[in-house]
Amino acid sequence: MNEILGIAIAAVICWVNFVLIDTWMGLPEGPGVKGADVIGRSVQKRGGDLAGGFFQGNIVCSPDASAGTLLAAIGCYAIGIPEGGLIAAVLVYFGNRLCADPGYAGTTGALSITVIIFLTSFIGFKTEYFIVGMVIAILTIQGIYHPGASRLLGKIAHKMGRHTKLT
Amino acid sequence: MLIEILGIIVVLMALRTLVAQNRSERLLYLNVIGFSMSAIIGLYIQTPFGAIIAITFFVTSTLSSNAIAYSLGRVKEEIMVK
Amino acid sequence: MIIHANVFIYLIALAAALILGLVLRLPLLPNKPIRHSWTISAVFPTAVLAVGFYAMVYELGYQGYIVALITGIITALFSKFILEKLVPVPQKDGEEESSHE
Repeated sequence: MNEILGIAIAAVICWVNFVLIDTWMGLPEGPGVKGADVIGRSVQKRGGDLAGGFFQGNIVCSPDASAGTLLAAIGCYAIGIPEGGLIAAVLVYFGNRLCADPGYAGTTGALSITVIIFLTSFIGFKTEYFIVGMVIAILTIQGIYHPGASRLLGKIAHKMGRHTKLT
Repeated sequence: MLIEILGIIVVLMALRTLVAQNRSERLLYLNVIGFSMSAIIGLYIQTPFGAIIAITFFVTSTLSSNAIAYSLGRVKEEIMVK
Repeated sequence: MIIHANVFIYLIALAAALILGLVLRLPLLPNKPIRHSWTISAVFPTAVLAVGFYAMVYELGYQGYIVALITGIITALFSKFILEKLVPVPQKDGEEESSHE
């Protein structure tokens, strides 16, 4: 598998994995902790969608499925599949509880990407591709154009019935 | 090559952080740097202990971002109350 | 489909934690809506912690059916008695301090 192609496909898989799980687990619905509120409203003020802003703020303030995906990928790379992913899931769970979050998004993201890494390892995907892919995926949400990314996340939140009721 | 890609992302995000005006906006760019650095640690120290270090670094950097974002909110509140 | 012995052993750890968790009167699933619920249940986080702890034990060098069983049992006990004290549920306000000027 060509490395650039592998990383690109892994980035898409990681993006879908963490966005769907995080949206399903309610990240766009409201700020999990106060800090996410600040970030969400700041993004809204700059022309973005509030639910998407809460999503981005929640990513910053607590380990969520994006963290779970990255850390499980690192675990699988350095420790082994599936042990690394499972250990990462436990550590992400405790990290979540320290950040005043129940822990569902992080652990679910870690477990699901562990399964995906295991399955794709049979068709030539190296685990490193998922590590770099996840960083690229988070770059598209947190690092390029916040209002645009938040509007996209807001649309996805609407579709999954998780848009915020706050204004 | 993988670490170089991640390194470029770190530098680009650092530059954006310097240029950005809004403190909350900076937090989002710093978040990407946290992800990248954790990935670089894991990819460089390829041992299980390296993974533990990468995970610990990431979780603690999230804790500090949490504290910063919370304080930003409290500062705004205090300014408004005054 | 070929399933490695590996998966069976994880299932033993998971099942041991799940069954003992139910015996210790942990709920099976957290309260609905699950994503906002703080309850410690048999499936989450006990089962997840069980397979995670077995993975840690495996990496430290101990493996096998008995080890998995013991890990599952210890995880269920940990989850029932110790977890709540280790990572307490935060108050409604999150991290608000109690005194305001």
